[in-house]
Amino acid sequence: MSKMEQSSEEESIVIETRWNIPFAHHAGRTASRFFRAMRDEQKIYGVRCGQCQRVLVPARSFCEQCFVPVQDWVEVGPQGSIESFAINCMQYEGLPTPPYVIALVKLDGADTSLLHWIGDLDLSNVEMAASRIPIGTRVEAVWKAKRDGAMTDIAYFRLL
Amino acid sequence: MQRVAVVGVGQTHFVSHRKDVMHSELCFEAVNSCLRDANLSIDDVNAIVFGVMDGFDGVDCLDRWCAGAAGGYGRPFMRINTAGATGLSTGIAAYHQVASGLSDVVLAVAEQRVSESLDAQSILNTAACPIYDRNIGGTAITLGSLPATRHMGLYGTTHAQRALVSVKNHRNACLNPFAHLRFEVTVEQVLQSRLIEWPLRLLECCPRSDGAVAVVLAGEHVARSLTDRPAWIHGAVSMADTFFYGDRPDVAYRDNLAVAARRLYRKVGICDPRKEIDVAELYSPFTSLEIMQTEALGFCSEGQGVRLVEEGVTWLEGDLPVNPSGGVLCTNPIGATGLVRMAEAALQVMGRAGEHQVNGVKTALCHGLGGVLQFQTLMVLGAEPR
Amino acid sequence: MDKVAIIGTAQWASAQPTSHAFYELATIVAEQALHNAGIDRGAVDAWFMGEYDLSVGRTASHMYTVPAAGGFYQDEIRIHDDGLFAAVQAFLGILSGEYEVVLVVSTGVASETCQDRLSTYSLDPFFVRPLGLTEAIANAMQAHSYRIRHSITNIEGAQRVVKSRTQAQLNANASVWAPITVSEVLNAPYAVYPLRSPEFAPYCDGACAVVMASEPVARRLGRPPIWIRGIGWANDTYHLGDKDLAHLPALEKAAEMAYHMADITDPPRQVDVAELYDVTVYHEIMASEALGLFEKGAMHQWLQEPLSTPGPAINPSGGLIGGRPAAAAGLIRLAESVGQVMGRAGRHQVDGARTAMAQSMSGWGNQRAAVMIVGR
Repeated sequence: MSKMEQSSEEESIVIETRWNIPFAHHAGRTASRFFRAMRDEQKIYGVRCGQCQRVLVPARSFCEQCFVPVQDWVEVGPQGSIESFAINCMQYEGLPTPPYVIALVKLDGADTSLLHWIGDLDLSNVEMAASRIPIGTRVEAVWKAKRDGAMTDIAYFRLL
Repeated sequence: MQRVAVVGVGQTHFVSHRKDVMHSELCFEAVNSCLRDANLSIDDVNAIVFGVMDGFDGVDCLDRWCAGAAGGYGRPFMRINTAGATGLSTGIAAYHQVASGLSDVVLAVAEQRVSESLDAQSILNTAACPIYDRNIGGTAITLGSLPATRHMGLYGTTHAQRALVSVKNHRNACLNPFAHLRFEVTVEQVLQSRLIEWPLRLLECCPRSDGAVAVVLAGEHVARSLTDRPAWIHGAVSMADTFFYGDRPDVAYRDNLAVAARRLYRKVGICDPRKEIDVAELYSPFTSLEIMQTEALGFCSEGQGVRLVEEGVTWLEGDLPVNPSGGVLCTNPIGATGLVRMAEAALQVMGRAGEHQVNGVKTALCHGLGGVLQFQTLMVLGAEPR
Repeated sequence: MDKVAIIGTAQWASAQPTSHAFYELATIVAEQALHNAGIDRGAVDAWFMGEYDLSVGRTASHMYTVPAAGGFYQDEIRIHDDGLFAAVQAFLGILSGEYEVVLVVSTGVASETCQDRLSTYSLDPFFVRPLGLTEAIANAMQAHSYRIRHSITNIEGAQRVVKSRTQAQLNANASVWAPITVSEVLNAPYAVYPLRSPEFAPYCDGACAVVMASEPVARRLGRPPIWIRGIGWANDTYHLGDKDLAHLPALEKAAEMAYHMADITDPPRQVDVAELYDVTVYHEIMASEALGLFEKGAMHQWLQEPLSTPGPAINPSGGLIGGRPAAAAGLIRLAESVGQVMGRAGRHQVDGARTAMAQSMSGWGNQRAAVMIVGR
């Protein structure tokens, strides 16, 4: 045992701190256009890479695999299929109340999957809920009535 | 083991707020500009070293999201963070990777978006020990003001003398298209600018900048095939000191930087730094620090740092220009800043610094500074391999 | 290529949240590793730290740990990633001719904040962070994809937990010693469906230090050194939706690089021990397959008794299921691998281990991986 080891009787002082720092994140031109389309048109866009031809969703300004800029905008979805999912059952401070389903949804016309929630699902029994959404399950975006230009403008994806 | 040279650099234009791109896109911009500069494609790159300081960007472990933007898809990728010294540590890590012989071409990339945090000081405050000194309210400026006060007390340095450093660096920045603050100032304007933390005034302090920088390093064989005039890395050191600022025997810190410099000079065979070094790019976010750094680096004797700027030695046309790019006083994307110093030093050696090119640079020194004047990193680059 | 040796290691672990300040752990492991190496702090040329900042609530947290580990007026660098990445960079530092002796230090204090909650802050603030993804959820999704791909049942997963816990009981440096049964695993609450809480590696506090030296220095010390035979490290993509979650492409790349360097062509026969970064029990399986130690999806061939069955022993230490001390977890895999090839692993020693490999991962969907192979 190291000489720095404390004996259990010694009182150990604990000082609590909290990071509470405001940030303003600028989405930039490409993501702003993606979010504006969600907010104003209720549409989801991807971009097609001129080199590998993949349609990347959410839209981005470059393809990291080919390392080239991309700007060929393509509308995708709003329907798609579940590629994978998990159901969070743990409560985290400041995160949604569990349980909630986070899924990768491959939107029609896209080559990559979008991460989002699966909603409108009875989650009182997570195993039963999971059995209702096997891989490949068809889903569709449900839009929020009041949209801010954010990922959460899609309220969730519902089962078709 | 192999010799290593810088063969290309890329910088974004540093500004207070890059609103048109997100974090990852800023990296992509710098990396592409660097690859174009070196006439390389991403496929030629063996590995990526990435630097950023956590907190300011509002994204922890930014390397995860930005790895692809830095060219890291499918490649070895190493994330560095040594606080303010991050940028140059990133360059040194890349240097070691190439020197090891395991890689021939390595990209060092560093980024910071200080503007995303609406209160950057509160992030810096988290570095202060919550157990002992976080509540004291020391700020980043304190790192410049305490030594400034001590220098005044020891050597009779005046506010007007320090102001000259600001005049010089602002003038240089006007010649550097990538610099953030690009306007000239007079001694009067410096002395009349807002008092930030006595004795330092606004125009004696760096801005908070957004931007990214990339430097591509290559082994000897590749470097020679790419360019006739690479910037050869002669050597580097990084130095750790104690955590507590009050432990430094000399808060004007001619101690740790001076030790680091002497070690580096021995390593690369520099006997008389004033004569043998042609240009220096230093991590000087405050006028006071530049003065003391030039002393610690052996450009003059103790307390004579103000003479260098008064006599014109450190000006662009002088004998030993310091911060010809305008330096950190005019551009400070914190975690990227050290790599900007390395990029600028390399440009000077390659003779491609543009309007702020110093004539006949054979040997350039660059510097990074991290923590509470705790980490000093230095690198020497030269026109000939060593 | 020049050879690099590992001449000393030290681990520190705690079953309870530590009452030490996080940087005091750096002192403990640094002192012990130097002692084990039989060298003095003055012989060390450079400190390579592998640590995260926000996990201890301080930016630039190496400001504390470098001096605490003895780094004073010498070179330092901090790799802001798992400690095994710092070991890779340290190895390169010696190969570059820049250093003779280096100290790699990783403190992993997880008890100062909720590490999993913290993980959301490493997500982009636009597309993913608003959805409430955490590292545990991403890892569960990855495990789910893998389970579906290879039709693996929850019973097989539970058996892996039992195996790892059994091994951890033999390891004095593990944090979680409590034995567990298959039915206890199957009756445990879901943490993130389809994974129950025992299937996740539990965060804990710990630290690790490793001393590396160039060949001349290692030989001068006069003891048989352990050599680093191969390294590899790689990154794939951050975007979970861009990749097949049932694979670990970064690890496959890192392994390829390390095997090439170590001249290993038949990993199942040439590797005796593998210490893997099992953030969930399924990641242990995925990793061993990505490393080519077992055939993909062939879970039924899996060894239940790592110490006695032929073939590579997987996580004889109990792996991360025995405790995951944040950034120190990967460097501990290296210390364990070194212990095995030295024949000094203790009660979880694998007989006749000559070649061992340590592996680590980090990032989203384990986008990044490092591998280090050591041998006598």
